[in-house]
Amino acid sequence: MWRTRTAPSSLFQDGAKVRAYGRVTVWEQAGKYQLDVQNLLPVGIGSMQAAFELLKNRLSAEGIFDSSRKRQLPKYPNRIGIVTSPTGAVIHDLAWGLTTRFPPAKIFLIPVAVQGDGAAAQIAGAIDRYNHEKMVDVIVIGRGGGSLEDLWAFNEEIVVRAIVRSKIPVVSAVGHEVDFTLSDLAADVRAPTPTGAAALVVPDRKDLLQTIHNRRESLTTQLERRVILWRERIARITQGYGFKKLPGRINDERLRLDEISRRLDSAFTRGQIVRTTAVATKREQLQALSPQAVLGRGYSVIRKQDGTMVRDSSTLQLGETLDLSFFVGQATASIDSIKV
Amino acid sequence: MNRPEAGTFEEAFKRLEEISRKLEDASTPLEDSFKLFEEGQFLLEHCQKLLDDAERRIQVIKSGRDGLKIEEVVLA
Repeated sequence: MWRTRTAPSSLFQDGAKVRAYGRVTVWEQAGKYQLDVQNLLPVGIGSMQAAFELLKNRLSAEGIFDSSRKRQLPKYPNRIGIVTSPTGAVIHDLAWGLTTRFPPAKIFLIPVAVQGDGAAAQIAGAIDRYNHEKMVDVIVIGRGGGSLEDLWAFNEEIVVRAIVRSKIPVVSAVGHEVDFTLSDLAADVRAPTPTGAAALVVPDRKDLLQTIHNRRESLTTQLERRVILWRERIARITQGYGFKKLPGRINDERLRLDEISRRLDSAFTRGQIVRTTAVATKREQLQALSPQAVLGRGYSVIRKQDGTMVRDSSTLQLGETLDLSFFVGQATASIDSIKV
Repeated sequence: MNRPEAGTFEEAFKRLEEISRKLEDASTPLEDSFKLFEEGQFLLEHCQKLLDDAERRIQVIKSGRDGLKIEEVVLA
């Protein structure tokens, strides 16, 4: 086989069984037949197994199968994208299982060949297609049981790369429970069988209906509890000492106000009487002390010629003329004798 | 938000959880509690209806020369 046509030699080991496609030519000079190999494929479990191990190791080293890479599936996927053969039991069982368990999900199918030439490319292309169109929330790839050769497409690197590339979580459901393809290892979730995939991808409507039933009851209970709590709050306020006594307290205040008002009035009135009496008394007293009243009692005002009043007899001189004022009328007099 | 548009099952379920939390919360006003209860009932009805849908369909996608074609197939 010419070097330019060599497939990755990692796929083949010495002693591997191979299937060679090519032309038989004759090398006349040496008298030999030559097989001009154009295509070389591993054959039989042994060589395929070896190829599988080699590829698995190489990809594992890249961390592709690490559990840390795996993503969680959406809990209630609205749209599910399937990649499998359009005929056969797998698509029917898978779709049936999904729609029975979770009717709200919309199911899509990109039909592909699941074995033979070009299968791997179609599978990888379908995964890319779902991603490119952003059509679904989860992808399920798979096929029914078969030999290692039958399942080989799901071991091809091109499919593994498409799974790794996918931004949408991928579920791999290939073959029987014992079959582990590289797609199974690279996917976010591995379903042991295609029919088992439905239970991994969607919840069961029976459980959901139960949850709805419970939720309906608890909503009612919660609302009732809210109403009761509010009623209690209102009752606490209206029955509280402060609230209950309020009309009474308002009334009390009103009475106090009246009382004060009344006392103010009576105090004012009494005050008036006292004042009036006091004034009258004062007036009388004043009047009694007035010069006129004094004159009325028989006293007289005696003045000297210069107008000064006489209080002291020693200021008098014999024969001095004095003015006399009486309650009624006036007179003049002269001094006859003086006594000190 | 009294009569929300019928959303996906997931959206409805998430909203129901939120409503339940709010109803538990003592600081939620009483009038809001009634509104939330009503919305919760509506969402529960909606989810139930979605789950009772008996139709089984698949959308088969074929890429032709004119682009993608989607064909609805009803399962037997």
